[in-house]
Amino acid sequence: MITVKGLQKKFKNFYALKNVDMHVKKGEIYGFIGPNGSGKTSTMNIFAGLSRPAQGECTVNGLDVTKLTHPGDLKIGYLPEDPKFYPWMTAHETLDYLSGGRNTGHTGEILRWTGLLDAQNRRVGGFSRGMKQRLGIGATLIRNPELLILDEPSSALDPEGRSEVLRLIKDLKGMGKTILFSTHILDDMERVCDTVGMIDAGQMMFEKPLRQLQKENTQPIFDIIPAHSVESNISNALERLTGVVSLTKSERSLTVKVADNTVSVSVMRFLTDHEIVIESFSLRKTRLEDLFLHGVNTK
Amino acid sequence: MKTEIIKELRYAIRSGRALILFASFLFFALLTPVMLKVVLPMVLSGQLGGETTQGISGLTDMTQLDCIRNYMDYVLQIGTIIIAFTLCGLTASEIRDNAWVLPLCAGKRFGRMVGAKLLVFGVLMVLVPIIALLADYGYSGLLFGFEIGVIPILYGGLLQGIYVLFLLSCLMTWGVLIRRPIPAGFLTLVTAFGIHFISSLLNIQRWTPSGLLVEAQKLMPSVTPSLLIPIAVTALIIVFMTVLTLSRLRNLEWNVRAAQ
Repeated sequence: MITVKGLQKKFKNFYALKNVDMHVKKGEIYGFIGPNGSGKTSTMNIFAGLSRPAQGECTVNGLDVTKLTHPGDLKIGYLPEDPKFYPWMTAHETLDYLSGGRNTGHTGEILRWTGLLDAQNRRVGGFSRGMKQRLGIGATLIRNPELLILDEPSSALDPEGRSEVLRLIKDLKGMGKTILFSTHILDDMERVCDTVGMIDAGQMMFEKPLRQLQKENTQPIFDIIPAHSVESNISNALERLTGVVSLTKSERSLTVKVADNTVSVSVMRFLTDHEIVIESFSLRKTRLEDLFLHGVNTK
Repeated sequence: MKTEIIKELRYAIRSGRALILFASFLFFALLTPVMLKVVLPMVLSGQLGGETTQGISGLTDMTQLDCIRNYMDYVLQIGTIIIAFTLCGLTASEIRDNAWVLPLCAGKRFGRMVGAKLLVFGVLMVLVPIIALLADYGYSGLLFGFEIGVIPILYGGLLQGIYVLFLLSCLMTWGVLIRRPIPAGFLTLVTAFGIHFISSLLNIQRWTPSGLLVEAQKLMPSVTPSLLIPIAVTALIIVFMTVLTLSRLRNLEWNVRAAQ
């Protein structure tokens, strides 16, 4: 749905984007992460046809964005970071205006789906941030597009509002939509994304399927929480076990670094043989946040 | 284009813009006859001492026609300022606040969005001077006695309305060019008063939109050939400014942060 090669964007003497390459496949949820000012919004503006790149190839929904004469020609749904509505219009009037008065049934469906049916005759100026965001997501669907670009749809929302927005995004995937969305809240991204792309200082740091990313960055470390304190001679014996690289003992837990995941079998057997009751035995996962911080700090 | 027109109508009514314009023009239309019939003689009698207000009224020899022409002078001066600052955000605020991002992505066309604004506020801007001038005509007729028929008033109001359309197109163009409402209002005033001042100085008013105001003040009962030049020139300027507005809109970058 989106193919980008060597994308560059320049504001006066400042390069906001430097040779960005990206690929968003049909039907996936693509999470776009990056620190503030890294170029996320600039990239998304170009994808939405709202801004022109200085250089590079960019195809969105089969159209060359560099040759676009009007953003509406892309037939995509775009939700800006801070969607601006006319405060003197009601929610229903807003969607009716955006749809051009066509297909009023669809407008009603969108209001129901976003949970704004009861508030449809209230002026948007009196809406909460969460309601505006839901109306914004509804507005992106007004032309029933296949591709949706959502810029920080869950940021600045309370946990309830975030959950509601994530539910809408999951629903959209269920409808077969392709979604590109950016967020600062990496937990949200882990909950809904298929692919993750990270940008920093206008350059792509990585672009991988979320599962692959998690697998590649999984550390062979087991966190073991025993029900009772483990004696030193037992922990020392465990450290000497074949395949165990190191062991760190703390008051409540054992951290066992192993050569690879298969060592887990011998570690568990050892614990069983020594009749150690365990409360928890887990492989440590690298969270997206760790990768994000690692990526930002090691650039 | 129906939804764009309905949107502009709602904006004109709900934002209070239509009310401000009607109320301001009607205020001056009704104030002028009172000022000339009651307040001015009172002020003059106080300064001259001993002379009655009736006597002063006789001295000033004010008629309905003088009263209407006085009001029409106000329209150029105060009316232009009121219009410039009431409608200065028509395009500038919407672009600056990124209010056009969602409509553009939903497929709204620049031509229809600008066209709806021109149509709705254009009709409003033609109606406001006509209604205000009719109110001035009626009230001044009651105070000074009716001197002329209603047809010259309608012609005069219509010419003022066309002049106001020129102001509207200036506001929209400046708004799109600089994307800040108050400076757009100031630049519209500079354009309008600048053209008026320079054309008066060079005696070429009939070749500028100011010629419409000169013709309007004549209060002629029918269309005269001298009207055609200022109407044609004003129409050409409005078309040029609309084309310039649309061309600029097509080349704008949207949803950009203010610093960029």
